[in-house]
Amino acid sequence: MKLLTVWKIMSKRHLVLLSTGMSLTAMSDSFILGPNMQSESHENILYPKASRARLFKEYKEVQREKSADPDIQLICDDSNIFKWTALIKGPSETPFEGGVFQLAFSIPEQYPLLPPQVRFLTKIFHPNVHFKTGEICLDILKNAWSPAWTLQSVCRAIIALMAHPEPDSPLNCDSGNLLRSGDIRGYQSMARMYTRLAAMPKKG
Amino acid sequence: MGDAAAAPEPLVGGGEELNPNPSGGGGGGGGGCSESVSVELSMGGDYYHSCCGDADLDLRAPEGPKLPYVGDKEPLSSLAAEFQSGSPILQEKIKLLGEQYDALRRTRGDGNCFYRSFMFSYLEHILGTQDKAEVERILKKIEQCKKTLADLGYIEFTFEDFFSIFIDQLESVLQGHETSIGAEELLERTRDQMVSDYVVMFFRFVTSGEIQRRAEFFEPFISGLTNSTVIQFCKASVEPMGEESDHVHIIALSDALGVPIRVMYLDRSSCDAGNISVNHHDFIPEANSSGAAAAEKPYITLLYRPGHYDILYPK
Repeated sequence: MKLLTVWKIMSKRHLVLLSTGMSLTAMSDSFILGPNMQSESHENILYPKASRARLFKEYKEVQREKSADPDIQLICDDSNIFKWTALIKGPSETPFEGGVFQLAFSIPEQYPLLPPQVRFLTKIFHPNVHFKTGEICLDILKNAWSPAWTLQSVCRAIIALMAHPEPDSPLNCDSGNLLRSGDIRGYQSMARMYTRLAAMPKKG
Repeated sequence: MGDAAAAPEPLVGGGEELNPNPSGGGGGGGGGCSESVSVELSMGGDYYHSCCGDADLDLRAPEGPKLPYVGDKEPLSSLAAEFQSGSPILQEKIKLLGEQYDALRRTRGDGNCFYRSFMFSYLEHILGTQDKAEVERILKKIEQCKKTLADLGYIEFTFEDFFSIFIDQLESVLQGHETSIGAEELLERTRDQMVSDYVVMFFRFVTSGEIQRRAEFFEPFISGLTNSTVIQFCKASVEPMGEESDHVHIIALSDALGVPIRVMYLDRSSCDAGNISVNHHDFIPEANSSGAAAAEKPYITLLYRPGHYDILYPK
């Protein structure tokens, strides 16, 4: 119960921040603060409150920096700030060039102490992405996560991973084996085929 | 790894800035994602050990979720009881510790024990002394740490919440405000998962910023400890929660905040059998421009057992 005092201070600070942000966007209070905001005490609600405030800052940053990173388009779900999707461009000079890949972000309430869960929605042939589930094997999404990362920089890291596959730690063994056996052409043609099939708009 | 990689956010957009460095060779083969791929840094994972994990069985601190983040104050005799059937060297050392210290407070062995011990010990000290000058001093230091991170390219919103929470705690332990708290409440907050973890993360940011700011100074320590660069070290072994702390971290935190720390070492080492003593090391902040802290005596004392830190109370 006594804990509340500090959180009153916290919320004052965040409310100032929110009120300044409000004019910039059409987001509603309930969207950012969530329905539980008013309910008193109980530590479980403190996490989502802090993560909402953080995600809102990221949202503002994404709006502000929209043109800065043309390879990444981050979109927040209309009704749930814990769900985001991203569209990322396949890096040039890779078999993914020309493709646009969709990522799904599911953000835990303890964010940013815990990493977002990210997976590919678009089918991709890459040694470190699960072919069926789209799960991504990347250290910053697991044990090397820190709050210094943002949704935006996670996207950048995933683009970098697309360009630099790590076949020794494969989630997609077929893809990993091609690279490990030195069959670069085989890997590239498979990856390019799936990019064409799944990540490019159909012609005609 | 150029300067551009100093912060996880490359200053200039574009994937190239990340300069991915897929961990060269080696690593776990085989299926699954047992070893995550490292983009910005290659994490060997073999150069550091998990907190309390590989420690000497005999010395290992109690672990597991049952122990609160920070425990109750216990008489030093409880430590003696723990080692009753242990090595005679340890028993002797505990006896010697008892000449100077009369109590300890255990912390959970979750890799954050150093930061949590420091947090509680420091705030408890401020609560006890009501040293407003010290609070003003550390607030200035905290401002400098913010600037350091910003200069390194960190986006302010990624760390500001962690800073605010620590400053809130600092202001709360000073009495006479609407939001002032006492000893019991301080303990409660240190045990609150969110407040506690946010403060730990604040210290991790401060430590990482200090190491990167003085990369030249820390580089030899780090390359002796691991074979990673300063930035890789900060990204892999300082910033992530649960990464255990070593001398490098303690030096950096003590310097960054200007707070001296004493560490008493409870291990099996002994110069010769007849003459056992408990080693200690004082981490004295580098003399800053104000020149004050030079010969300051540490008021924070931690008990180190291989892989773990607890809080010690002098007589």
